[in-house]
Amino acid sequence: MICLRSTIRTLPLGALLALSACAGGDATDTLRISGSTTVNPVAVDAAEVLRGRSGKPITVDTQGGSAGGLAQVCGGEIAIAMSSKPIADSDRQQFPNCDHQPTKVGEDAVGIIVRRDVYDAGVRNLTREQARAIFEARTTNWRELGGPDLGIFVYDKEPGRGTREALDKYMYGKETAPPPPDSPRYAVVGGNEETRAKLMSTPGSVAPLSTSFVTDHPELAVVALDGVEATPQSVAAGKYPMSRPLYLVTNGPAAGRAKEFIDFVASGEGQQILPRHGYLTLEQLGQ
Amino acid sequence: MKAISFCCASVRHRDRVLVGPVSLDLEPGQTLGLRGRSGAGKSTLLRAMVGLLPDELHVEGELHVLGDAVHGWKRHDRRWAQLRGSAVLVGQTPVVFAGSVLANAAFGLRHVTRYGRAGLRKRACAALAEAGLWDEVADRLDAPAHTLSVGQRQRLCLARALALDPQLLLLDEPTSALDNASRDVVEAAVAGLLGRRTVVLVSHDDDQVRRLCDREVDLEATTSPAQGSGPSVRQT
Amino acid sequence: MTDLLTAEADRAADARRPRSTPWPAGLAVAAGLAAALAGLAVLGFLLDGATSAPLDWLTLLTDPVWDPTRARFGAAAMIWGTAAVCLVALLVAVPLGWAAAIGLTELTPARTAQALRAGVEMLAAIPSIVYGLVGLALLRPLVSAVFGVPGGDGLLTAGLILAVMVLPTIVAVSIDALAAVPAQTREAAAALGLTRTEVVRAAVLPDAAPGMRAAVLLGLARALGETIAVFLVIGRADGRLPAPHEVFAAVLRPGQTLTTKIGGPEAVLAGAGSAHWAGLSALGLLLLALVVLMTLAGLRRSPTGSGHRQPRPRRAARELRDRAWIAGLRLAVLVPLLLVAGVFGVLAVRGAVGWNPAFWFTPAAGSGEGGVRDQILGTAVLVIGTAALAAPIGLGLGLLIAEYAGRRAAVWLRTATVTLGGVPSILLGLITYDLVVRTLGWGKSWLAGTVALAVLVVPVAAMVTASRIVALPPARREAALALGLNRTQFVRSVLVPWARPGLLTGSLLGLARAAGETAPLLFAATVFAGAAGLPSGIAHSPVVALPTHVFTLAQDSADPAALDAAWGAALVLVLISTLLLLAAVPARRRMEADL
Repeated sequence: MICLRSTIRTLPLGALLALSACAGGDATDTLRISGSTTVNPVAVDAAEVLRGRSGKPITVDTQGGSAGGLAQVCGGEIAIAMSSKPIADSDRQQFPNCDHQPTKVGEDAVGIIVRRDVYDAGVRNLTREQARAIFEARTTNWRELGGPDLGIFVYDKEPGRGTREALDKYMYGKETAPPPPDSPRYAVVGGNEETRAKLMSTPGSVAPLSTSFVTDHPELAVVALDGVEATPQSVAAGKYPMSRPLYLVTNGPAAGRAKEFIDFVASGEGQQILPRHGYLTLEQLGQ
Repeated sequence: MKAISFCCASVRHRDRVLVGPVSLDLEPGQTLGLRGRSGAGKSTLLRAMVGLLPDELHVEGELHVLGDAVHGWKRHDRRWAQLRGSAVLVGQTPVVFAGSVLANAAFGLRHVTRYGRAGLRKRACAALAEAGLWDEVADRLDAPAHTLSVGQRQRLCLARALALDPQLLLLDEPTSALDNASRDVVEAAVAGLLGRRTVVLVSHDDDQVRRLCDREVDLEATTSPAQGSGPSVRQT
Repeated sequence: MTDLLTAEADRAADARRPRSTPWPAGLAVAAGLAAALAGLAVLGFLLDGATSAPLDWLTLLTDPVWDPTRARFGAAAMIWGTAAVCLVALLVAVPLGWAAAIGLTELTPARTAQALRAGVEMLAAIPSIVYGLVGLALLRPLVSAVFGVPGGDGLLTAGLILAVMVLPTIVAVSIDALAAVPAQTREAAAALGLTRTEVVRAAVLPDAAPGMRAAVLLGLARALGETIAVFLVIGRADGRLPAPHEVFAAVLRPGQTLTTKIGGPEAVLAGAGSAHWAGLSALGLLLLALVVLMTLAGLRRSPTGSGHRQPRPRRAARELRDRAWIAGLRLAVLVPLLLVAGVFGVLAVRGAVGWNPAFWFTPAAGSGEGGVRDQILGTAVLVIGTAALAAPIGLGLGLLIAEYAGRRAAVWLRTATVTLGGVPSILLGLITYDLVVRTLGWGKSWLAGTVALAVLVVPVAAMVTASRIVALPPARREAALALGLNRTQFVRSVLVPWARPGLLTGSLLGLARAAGETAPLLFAATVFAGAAGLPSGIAHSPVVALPTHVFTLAQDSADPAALDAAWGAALVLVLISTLLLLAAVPARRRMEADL
């Protein structure tokens, strides 16, 4: 009992002491990275390697996707933003005091993903107009596109996700995308893992998703767009319409550990990480 | 038919005898007083008659109430509810239910009998009169029952029981929770019932028992059955 | 002259008295200030955010379209979504919860009832992320199959999951209300010849009704504030406001609630001071207003009128009805118990990897590989930090409420404390994110998470402590004061030791909930990868934690390895929060024995 009493008394005091002791720690040494779930696997692997070498901490997070990363790097909450979309004028407008410096580290193809049964039944190619009709919920059955008699269920990405911007850019070019359709067969997903999980559990579903996330999943298939398959060759040749660059972005020129990290990913050794996750290296792109 | 008939009846906690064994018969119209110190088991015995014992207690021996051999009934036997409509217990503390004075007086009636609204009212008012409360509440029948004084509430509980026109009335220390003034009023109300109703009255107050009852059982002697003496029964 | 003598004597007495610092009073005041600060921070932050840019409140309440790119901020669709999921939850949970509470208190022997109630309360020990996982992996396919909803995402699924989550609240508060009806009331009614169910209906329920209605409101407050479990299964589709005639069909469709919108990515995207941020803050304000309203209404127990016009059935019908009700109520008791058994059974089986000690002691590697060593450490850091912060404040606040405050002030303080406890955790996450992570520039850090979690724990700890203090037998107070103790000495040597089991119980109950909180951690304290279990500093020291780990893995539920790891981590998490609850049992026993 006496022991408990003294514990209760000393606990807050001890906590305060611990706090003040910790405050002097080397926490600011942490290299903080956040943003796109597409770039995330690459950054996690690279961080693993560098952490093993220097012993200094690197944290990787994916809150809010690409746009979240770009916002946080301006706020100074992180040192490097991962982005699976180029810096747009709207981003520059939103953060006028911020100097986004992107470094391209690879390229990824976003696919319009359908389920294998739909693909095998004949939906192997979509035109730009057909894609718009699907995502605007004007086409609601795969039968209309030469597929099975099965309702279409659309999963769209949250706002701010690089994947969604790639799809919008393909479907609408420079026009602003219309608001989401008021369709009962439409839901919203966040990260790439969630998108894949929902696609695999929903018959008749379709969603935009990085093709690298479906390579090991035969239940899902990537349709060709305007007759172009999403192959490394077509992406490298710039023929595939929904490819997108992958960036690491700093606020102002990269320096210190952030530069070290970016240089590593861009180096020959770091580039080997990209094919592991289904992305194209700078070399494959001829850059 | 005897109103109550005990034959070597005792209340036990597992194998331990708490009250009894008691053997006695009560004829209709008689008044029986149960007395003894607090803890002697008076209230327990009273509750045994209508199946309201706490879960861990049970009755051994024979116990007939209004002709029913209730010692054989299980705790949740459905016959208990019917019996309780005829052998009504009034507890020590005056419990009033949410609702008006009238609603309280008619509380049991509404469930146990099939009177219409007017019949309910008539019976409830008659019961309030029998309990000696009518003059005090006649103008506030629709007031919430909890606004009554403690003494009035206890008589309301009595009226609630009387409204059922019970063949047997079981009163558990009806005056012990009351101050002196209320005590006299309630005791007067109880005295008014004697002779017209069959009553079992539990009281730790020997004088009260002597004043009100034809017969009495002193449960004091039963608390230590090892000595072999049964309860003393006084017949007047 | 006599006055002077008395004063003299007092001074002499004081000289003999050992000097004592009045720390209890200081602690109470400090705790009161800390709690007030937290409350003001919540309100002030949201008000400040909502007014930081011009915002049309009429549009917010009536326009279904939420479209930041076109600067249109309408919340009508989210209000509908919130109302729909809460309504579904209540429609299922209220009849079931009430019936189970009645069955447990009125028809079950006391000892069995106590054990069964503990069983039902286990439902409350399961963190919302685990419910999310259950919803994602089990309920979605079920709804999809039964109602033909593709994928199974939608308002109905979210509502059903919420129903399970609010059930323990409704059962527990209803049981308290029923148990507060004196046994004499039941006996008095039974003595008049009423059957068991008639006793319940006519005598017990009228007395317990205000408390049972309060149970619904408190359950509703919980449902309104829930984020994570709903987030995973609702489909998060904006702009869905159905026409009146298609309301029923719309319940089967994806939608959005206030909490899932706030919990989504937009808080990170919206720059401070932008119209977007103002819109989000307004959503938070709206949510807070609803929850506070429900909590306050739940605390105010309105007096009952007498409803005494019921048909009188015949004798045979009376008996039949009694039987039918008893059977129905018994069945209702079974449902929550089956749910508990079901959830724990699923966890034990699907989370099989969690039984392997290696899973506890190896670090995670990639998606679904390795164990959860660092996550356990991180959760431990958060729980211990929260305990160190919340226990003293809880004690102080409890003392303030039950001892130092006057009667009227105590009522206010109680109400304010319970209200603070009802603030949805997602709002705490949002506020901590903006205040600590963004404005203070700390980045994500374990301490920020600890502060957010402490706000959740302090009200529980304070309320249980206060009830304990109130339950101090007056004779003890009298005896202590009769020995000449002054107030400080009395508080220190009588009240604080007496309150200790209360503080312990309240803190552990709160911590069990905090251990499983996900939403505030996502914003304030945890990252996806790279954080060690043990932080190396304060600012910029995020951790990894079990609930957020489950959240990340659950989103990858199509990958069998990730799903297995998610169930495993969920099992570990539930074991930890169950341990915290079990640790509270001895202290609770002692309190019950004292009464």
